[in-house]
Amino acid sequence: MTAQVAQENPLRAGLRRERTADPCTLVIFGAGGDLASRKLVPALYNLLLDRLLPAEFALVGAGRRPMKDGEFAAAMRQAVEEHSRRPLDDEMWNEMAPRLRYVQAEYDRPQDFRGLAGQLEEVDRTFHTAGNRLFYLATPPSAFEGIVTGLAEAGLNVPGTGGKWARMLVEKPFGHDLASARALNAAIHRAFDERHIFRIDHYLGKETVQNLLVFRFANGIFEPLWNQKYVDHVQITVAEAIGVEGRGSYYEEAGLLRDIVQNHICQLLCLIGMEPPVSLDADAVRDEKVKVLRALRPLRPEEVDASTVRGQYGPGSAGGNAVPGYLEEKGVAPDSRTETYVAHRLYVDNWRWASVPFYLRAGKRLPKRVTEVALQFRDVPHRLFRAGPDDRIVPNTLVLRIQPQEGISLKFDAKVPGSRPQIEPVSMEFHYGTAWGMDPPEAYERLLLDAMLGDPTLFIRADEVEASWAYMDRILEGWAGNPGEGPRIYAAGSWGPADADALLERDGRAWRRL
Amino acid sequence: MPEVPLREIPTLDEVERQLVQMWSELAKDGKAVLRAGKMNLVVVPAPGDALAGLLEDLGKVTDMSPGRVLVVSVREEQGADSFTPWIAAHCHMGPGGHPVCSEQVVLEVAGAARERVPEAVRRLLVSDMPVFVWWRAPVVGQRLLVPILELADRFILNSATQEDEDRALPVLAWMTGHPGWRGCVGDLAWMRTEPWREIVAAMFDDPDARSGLPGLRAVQIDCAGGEGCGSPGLYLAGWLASRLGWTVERPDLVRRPDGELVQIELRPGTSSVPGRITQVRLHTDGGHAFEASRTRCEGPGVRVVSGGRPPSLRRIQPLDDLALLHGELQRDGRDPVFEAALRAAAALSGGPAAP
Repeated sequence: MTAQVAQENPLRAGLRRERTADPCTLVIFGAGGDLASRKLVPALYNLLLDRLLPAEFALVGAGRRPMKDGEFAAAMRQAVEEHSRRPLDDEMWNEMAPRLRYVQAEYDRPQDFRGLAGQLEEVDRTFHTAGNRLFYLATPPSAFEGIVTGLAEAGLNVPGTGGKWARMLVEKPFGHDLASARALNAAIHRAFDERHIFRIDHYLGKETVQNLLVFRFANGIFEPLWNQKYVDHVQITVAEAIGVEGRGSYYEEAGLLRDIVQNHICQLLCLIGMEPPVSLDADAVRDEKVKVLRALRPLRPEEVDASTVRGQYGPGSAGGNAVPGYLEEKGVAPDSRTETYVAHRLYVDNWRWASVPFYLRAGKRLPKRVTEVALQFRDVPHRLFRAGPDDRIVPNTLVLRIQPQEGISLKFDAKVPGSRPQIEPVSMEFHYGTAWGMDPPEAYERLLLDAMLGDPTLFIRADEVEASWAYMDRILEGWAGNPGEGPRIYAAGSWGPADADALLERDGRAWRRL
Repeated sequence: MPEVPLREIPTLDEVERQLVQMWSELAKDGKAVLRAGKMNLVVVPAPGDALAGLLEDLGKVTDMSPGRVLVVSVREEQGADSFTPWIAAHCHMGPGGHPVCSEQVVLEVAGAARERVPEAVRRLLVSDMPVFVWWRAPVVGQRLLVPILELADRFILNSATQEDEDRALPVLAWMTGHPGWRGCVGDLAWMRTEPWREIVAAMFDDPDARSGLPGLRAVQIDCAGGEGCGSPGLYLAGWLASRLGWTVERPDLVRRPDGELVQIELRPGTSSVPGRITQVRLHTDGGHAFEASRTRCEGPGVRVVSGGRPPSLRRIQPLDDLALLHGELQRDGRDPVFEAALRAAAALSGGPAAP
């Protein structure tokens, strides 16, 4: 995480907010959508409250729906009232509202982009935003290429008059397979240089995900154990209690592998598996992440079923209420074979992780929302303490909890007080909420700020995207090549299909009970 | 919510054993209770502090920064020596619905027994955890000051609430150079100026505006209440002086590196909050003016006009002492920017530099 200290301004030294963003205009394509109102505009408002937005800032919403500036501002005010982590302050909102503009645009109509260019020049003159532009693609991916082309044809892929930069923020999914990811990257690269492209996986904006690097590389105690000599296996879990929540038609196209495993889980895998970077420079960190993806043991199509379990939730319960199965969700085909659960075993074939299995599982409609990474350490070489009927000797486990109740715990065995040599596992716990008692900023606050600052460390590089798709494609091909095997049905509210348990049992292991 | 009210302990030797007993009591119904700790916080109250209220406030602090709290309550009245320890636990609901508790130990001391305080505090500190001292008592004329200072990794006070404000900053500046002490000093009044420093710094982020910084010739800071601006105003002026290389020859004689004089004016204003900064005006040789002023006397908004740009509104989060203390408890190590500003502010205050 490169700290861009504004060294030229002597008054900036020592201030907590040493990093200041250049004057700029943020253009959100898809401004009428959920992402803008639930996440982006509330994040901008919180940056304003923390004085992290530059004083010379403007927001231009772009979308297909016709809307006047005032209507857009009113809608965004409501969005802040409903979704901001801090309450709306009228005085501060009144500062922000006049800096909001709205432009109606069809993403395949060049004249609309020329109109946008004119608007941005006017915004620069009015708000002194200095010709710096940040374009946020918060649209369905089908619109990405049209927007990029439109921007380039209107000359918006370069800074405006007097500006220093024009950047592009792209929301996932970055393609739906390797070929489409390459095509998308190529299309964006025709207009924007890679150093100006910021691909968002909001997991990387989470404090606890960033803490993985701190935990590993700022503590001398763990890194020596962080390898095949001491780690028996790794489990990565991304469990959601919710179903597809009205996104049935999207899910039919995507499925859980594309929605969660290819991005969020791959990012966690990279941060857990990577070698120490030579510095915290953005490319040094990302170079190490991509090496992990390139070291994944390639799967042959016939190996996919042996290392992968896909499931689909059936009717069941959630929060004590009966809920429908995936097939009953709106927008889902009655004979859909889309997966809402994936369990997978993979290997990182390098010096550090040789023969250490990484077990990944992710699913919807599981009993609770949990994201965690657990490293289970090898057993002691010789069992000095014989496990008796009252003993529960278990291997040491280090758990990094991403959400909820962010924290770290270490499980080890201890003697139960008394005359008998009874042994029980105990847990040392660290909770973010207990140690600091403060609300961390939302992931999008950090990511929007970093994009304005031009720091790409927490964004995904093109080669990372392609390397992860190269691996996922093997799984997708394996599934496609075995049409007889559909997803296993599991009851909503359960921990997934029984085959997922069997996947670990065959290796003499078991999923952590969460 | 489990909570253990203040209970008297017969002797100092009993304190640790009684604390262990207290934890057993907290967990006696079989529910898990988390004992959280990442620091020792030694508190020396001001003469007017009510102990119950102070402990309640300290409980709020340990909700955010858990640790063992040691309150050294010195009774000034003449009479027999006494040294009485008390213990309590403060809990709040933590993650997963488990109560999270911190220990509070009070040492009530009178007469010559105060000489035993440093040794008692040393004995009660949790090992291998940083020691923060929150000094609320006057810093001038206190015999306990130096022995307690020497225990501290970080010595925190609020110079804005010191009775003898003119002397507080020079004493703090003296502490930063106290021989043999490897800790550092923090001042809540300095922390309170951070949003203002940030706003003033932002005025000069623009390269055109920044070119005017070496030619700054007048600083006017309006504050609230009292006879002057107090330590917040002094800090802000001292910060500008130290960052821009000005020399404070006398409180009324400040020179830029090019030898030209800088006029610094700290003006009292009207507000219910002592030392609250309400306006900052800066003028350069080139005739440019930079101004930041509260939109309402007590409001969070600050309107900024700089270098002919359209006005913009910035927000200053109102922070009470506990929030500022929490911020200080997150800090680690010396802050050279603060210490340089402190030395300049102490020089601008004109007070004598002995504790």
